[in-house]
Amino acid sequence: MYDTQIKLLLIGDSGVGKSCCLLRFSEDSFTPSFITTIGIDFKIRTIELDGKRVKLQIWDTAGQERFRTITTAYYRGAMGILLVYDVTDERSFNNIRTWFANVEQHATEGVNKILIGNKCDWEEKRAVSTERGQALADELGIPFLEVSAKTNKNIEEAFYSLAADIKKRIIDTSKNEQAGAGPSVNVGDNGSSGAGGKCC
Amino acid sequence: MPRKAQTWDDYDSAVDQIILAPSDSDFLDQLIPVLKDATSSSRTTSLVQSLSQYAEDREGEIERIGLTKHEEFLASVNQLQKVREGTVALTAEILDLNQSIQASTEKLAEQKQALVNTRSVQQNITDVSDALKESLKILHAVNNAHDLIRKKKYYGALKSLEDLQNEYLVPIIQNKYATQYRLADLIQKSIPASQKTISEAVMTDLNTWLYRIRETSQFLGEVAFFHTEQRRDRQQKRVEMNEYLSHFKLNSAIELVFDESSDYDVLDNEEVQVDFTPLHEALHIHEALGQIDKFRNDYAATRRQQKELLMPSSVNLSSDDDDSSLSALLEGIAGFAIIEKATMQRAPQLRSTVDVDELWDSMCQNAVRLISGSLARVTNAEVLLKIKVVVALFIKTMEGWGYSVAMLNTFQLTLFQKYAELLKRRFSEDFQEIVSTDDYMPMAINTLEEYEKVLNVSWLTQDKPVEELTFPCVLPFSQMYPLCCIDIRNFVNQFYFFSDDHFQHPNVIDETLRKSLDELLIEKVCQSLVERLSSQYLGQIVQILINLEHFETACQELEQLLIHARSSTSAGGPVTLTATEQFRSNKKTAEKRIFELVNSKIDDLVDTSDYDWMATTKPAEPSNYMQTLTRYLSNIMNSTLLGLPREIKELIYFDALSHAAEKILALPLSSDVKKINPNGVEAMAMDVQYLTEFVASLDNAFMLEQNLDELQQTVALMQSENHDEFFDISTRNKKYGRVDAMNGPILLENRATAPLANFGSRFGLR
Repeated sequence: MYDTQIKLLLIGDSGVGKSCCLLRFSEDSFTPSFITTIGIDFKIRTIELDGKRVKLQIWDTAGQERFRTITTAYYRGAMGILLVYDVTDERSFNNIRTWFANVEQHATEGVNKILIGNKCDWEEKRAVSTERGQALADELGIPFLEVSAKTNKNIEEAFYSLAADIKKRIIDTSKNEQAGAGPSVNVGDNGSSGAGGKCC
Repeated sequence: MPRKAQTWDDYDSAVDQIILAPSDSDFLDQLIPVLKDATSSSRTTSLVQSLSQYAEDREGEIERIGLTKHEEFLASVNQLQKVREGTVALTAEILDLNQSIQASTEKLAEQKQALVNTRSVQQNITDVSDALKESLKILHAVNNAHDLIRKKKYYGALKSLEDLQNEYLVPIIQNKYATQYRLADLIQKSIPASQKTISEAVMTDLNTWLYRIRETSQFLGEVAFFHTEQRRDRQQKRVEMNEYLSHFKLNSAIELVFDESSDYDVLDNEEVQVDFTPLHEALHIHEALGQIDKFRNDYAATRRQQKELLMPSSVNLSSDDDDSSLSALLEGIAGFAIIEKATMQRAPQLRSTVDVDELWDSMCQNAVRLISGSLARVTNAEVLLKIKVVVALFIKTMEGWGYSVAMLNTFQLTLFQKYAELLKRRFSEDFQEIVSTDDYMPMAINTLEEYEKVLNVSWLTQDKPVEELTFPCVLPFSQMYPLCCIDIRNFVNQFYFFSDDHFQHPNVIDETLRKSLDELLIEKVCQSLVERLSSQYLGQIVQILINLEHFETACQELEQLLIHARSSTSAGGPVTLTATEQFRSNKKTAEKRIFELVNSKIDDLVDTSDYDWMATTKPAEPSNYMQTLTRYLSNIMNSTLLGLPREIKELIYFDALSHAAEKILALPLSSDVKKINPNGVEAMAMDVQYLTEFVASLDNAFMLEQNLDELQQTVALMQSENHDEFFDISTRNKKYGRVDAMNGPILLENRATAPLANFGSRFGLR
């Protein structure tokens, strides 16, 4: 059982390791593979935040352009978005601005975001410095973490911090506003999504 | 002859005559014999007496005369005085003379003695000279023999020794008193030594020859191999001109007849010449010496020893130009064995078939043992092909020389097994690599060229003509499929690389290929794919299912291909790969896994439903989870599951909806749910309605909708104010026929306790 639900979304170029990050977070496993996500996938993991059980429903999108119509539909329901790039791939980093623009266009306003630089274990191949990542995050006004799905570095931190931010923004706020309201997150969710209109 | 000395009995008369001699010389002449006689008969006194008598007579006469004729007398006395003096002088002279004669006689005797001595020495010298001449003849003969040895004319030498014996030695030795007996004896005794010298000299020559033969062996083998290769090429050319000739292999009677025109002698050509003269000579000599048996044994021992020297302690299978290379080994053996055969043909009394075959077998065994020992270190199949070519050439060459090659033919099987094993290992790795590095995405094709490449290898039946295709396009399978197809074709081809004229076991190739390929397909492709079905990535599993389907088709095609590729002409009948069935049956496994994964996602999503069964207000819109669920199903159908065959997609939908309905139905039945108010029912009803509408929009709606019957009827029952309808069999069958007999009452009970529930229904229930 859980006290609250949070929907998260992973976006970023194809091959940056979104699915790997998710697999590491949801099942604590890592298999090097060349497999590309087709369409859409999701994982569920329940975590504890401030003594509350929070059920995370994390949506993993295909990075490839041809699935863009499907994946864009998931922006709206998301309460937090992880923008992932690959520190060994300059292009994926440069594309973050485009992804960010997509978020701005399609996601609910005020959605929490975090910039994630994956594969930070692969120092010899690194193409994007931590400083540049941080600089971009600062410019976009979002938190930043370098992670490694392979070595499990900062994976937990990334999801936890995003979840915590969301909890702070939505649940805690809505609690204050509607003291005594039911435990359902859907209420809060529905409340916020009301501004953005219906999903799908 | 000395004149016989005159002797006198009475000197008186002699004296008269002497005195009466007319002259002095007559006087001397008369006197000397008398003196001599007197001297020799020692009657000097008598002579002197006669002379004195004569003188006294004369004296008396003279006295008478003197008396008568004084003057004359005196003169006579004087004269007489003178005569007397003369006589004395003469006597002395005679004595002297006598003495001198005596001295000279002694000298003469001495000289005569010396002469006799000289004569005997001279006789000795003549005798010795004769003996030496005789000896010289013998020694000349001996020298001649030794000369012949020096000139390496051993047989001549031997003959001359024999002549020497017959002509000189034997007659001499038979005559015990012969002058040269000792010499003859000595020489006779030295004859065995001389013969030994000859035999040794011959052996030295033979050893030199053997050494040279040993040195040439490998080159001879190389030349023989080359010759065989050329024959094979010629045969090939003939086959090209006349297909019928392909029935006849190398070394077959037909091939030999066709090749007769080129009378190439491996043992005597531009490259190599093997001269058997020293061997013949040695044989000749030993025959002459009556030592043929010993010689045969020695020769056999030497050859055996050479054979041992020929065999290296190891063979390096991966290098070509090394001394320890396989070629070097086999060329050495070939050269050795060819010389053996040639020796046997030229000197049947020296080498028997048994000897030759024994050495051959031993060499073959050794070679097989050496190669087998090194095979373990060979990891490259190409190296094995090279080995096989060399061994085949060896076999053909030696077969041509009439050697039994059964052992080697069997050994080729060993080589082939190893080759098959290496191929399998390499392709195993290849397949593993392909399977593990695949992206499990439908393969994107960018150009027509690329497309044709894939089409050529993949056994893909394309419905659309190529002209209608636009690029880039996407093929259903992922790239592992064509890659595996290429590998499979290569595998089959490389297998048959081993098969050619030299390989005697075509059906073994066919059978081994089928088995190996089957194992590869099952273990490395099918099994690897099945293992990956545990993946969490739905897309990957879908792709595996599609790939399995293509592999199944490929297997069927492959069975046909194997029939056509068969190298043995005798074997017939179909070829069956177990892999075909494996791929087919594992499609079901993959299908099940897809169901399982989709259902687990449905579970996850339905688990996020949080109905407020006692909600204070009616819901404004369908639940978030329901919207997410339908959208998710719709999305994966159009993306992740898109490539699946239609019937499987329908099955997945069918299964997924049935599962979802079951899950949703279980929500109000949960033990946590104590009460449900109409708002709660309304929320669920709205969701079911939403789901129904979603299903209605699907392609196969008619078939899929029935999955929702129970859910719809149950919700309808929950909504119904008239619960009696459920307990009345006739209306129940009509309206709630699909509602579970146990669930219905439970839900109605929960419903009954709700604030808005009426008592009537409650009564009706009890």
